Amino acid sequence: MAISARLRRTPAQWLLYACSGLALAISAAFGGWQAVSQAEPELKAGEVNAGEPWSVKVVTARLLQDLEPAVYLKNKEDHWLAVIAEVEITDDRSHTDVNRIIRVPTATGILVDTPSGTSFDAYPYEVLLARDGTRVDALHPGMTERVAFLWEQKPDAVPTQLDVDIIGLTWRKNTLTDSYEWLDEAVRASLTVPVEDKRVPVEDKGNG
Amino acid sequence: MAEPRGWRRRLGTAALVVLAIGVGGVANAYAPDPDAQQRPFLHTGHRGERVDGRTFDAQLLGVRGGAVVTDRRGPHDTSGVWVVAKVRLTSHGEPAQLGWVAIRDGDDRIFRASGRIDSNPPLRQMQPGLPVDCEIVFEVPKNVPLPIAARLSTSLIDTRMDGMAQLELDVTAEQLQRWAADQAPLTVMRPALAEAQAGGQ
Repeated sequence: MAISARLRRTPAQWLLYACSGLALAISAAFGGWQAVSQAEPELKAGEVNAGEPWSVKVVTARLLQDLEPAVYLKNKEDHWLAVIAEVEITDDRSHTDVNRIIRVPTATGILVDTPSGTSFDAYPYEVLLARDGTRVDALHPGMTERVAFLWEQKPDAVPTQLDVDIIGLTWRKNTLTDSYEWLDEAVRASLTVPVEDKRVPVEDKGNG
Repeated sequence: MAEPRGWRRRLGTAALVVLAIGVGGVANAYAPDPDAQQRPFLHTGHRGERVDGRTFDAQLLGVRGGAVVTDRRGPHDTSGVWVVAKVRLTSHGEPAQLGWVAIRDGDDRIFRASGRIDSNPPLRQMQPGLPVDCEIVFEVPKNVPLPIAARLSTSLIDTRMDGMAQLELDVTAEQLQRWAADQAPLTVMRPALAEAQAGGQ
């Protein structure tokens, strides 16, 4: 009776402090205060990063000169920075958003036509199918394809190594439309790959 | 006497609240999600049948396949198999054009018409009452679960609550295996008026 009377006199604020302290203590007991380990696993070239809506195996990165008529450089002195990867759509429908799969976050000298200041700037300029050089407008479920993600790069940027991010999406309800969509682009895995310089020297072109 | 009645009233109120929440929860759990509510209205038919796609009719004339399709850029091979559906399209009341076109397989997976082939699906505009014959090219795995059907809509992206024609292709696993091994390049026909084709034959 005496305790109950004392509790009644205690300001609610003090009870709030006590509850908060208890919650923090419980959180600590279950590891809530431990440092978060790196979310994205480090991969090596040739390792598959499995997931949805796509599984991705980054094979290599290359510098390429001339890919016409499949795709045209805006400035002839530039070159293509290409990330070659094998992609399998694990979703149950074709995906047309293939240019969202790979990013090169630390690459320098990337030509962005009209910078928008959004994530669109980081998308590859083009994605080509290694099979026949056609533009990839969609990849289909269960059909693994080797594709090249292309960025136009200025001539003074000649990387020997390249950091590559594999992007994942989450299937969730769009809070605006209430329908389910693949949203929330986020880095799912990262790796560093050597860059092969496959550009044709200028003097060789004349002899060809 | 007043106190027990008060407790009964509170208990009854609490029970009603719990019941309301429970019924609401069950109704919410079993209600179709927006994707199901807003799914396209499918009209299904087989070869030779005219199938309504809201703004047009579609009729499957035939199906063929192979390992290679050729267009003006050259031959295109595939890790799967090419399936080419020949259809007759007739717009109802105003000019129309194919938009979203795909194959649905036996597991309800969706394979969009291949963008690797020129003008696929055909961009030919259909004029009302003038049937147009054309071919649509799809790329599917060799072991795609059957049955497969072509779904055609004039909506380009948003097919929610739109009419859609579904043409059952009725291909067999043996046909798919035979086509996958057939290296003879397939050339896709140019869209043409059905009457003009008939007149020319």
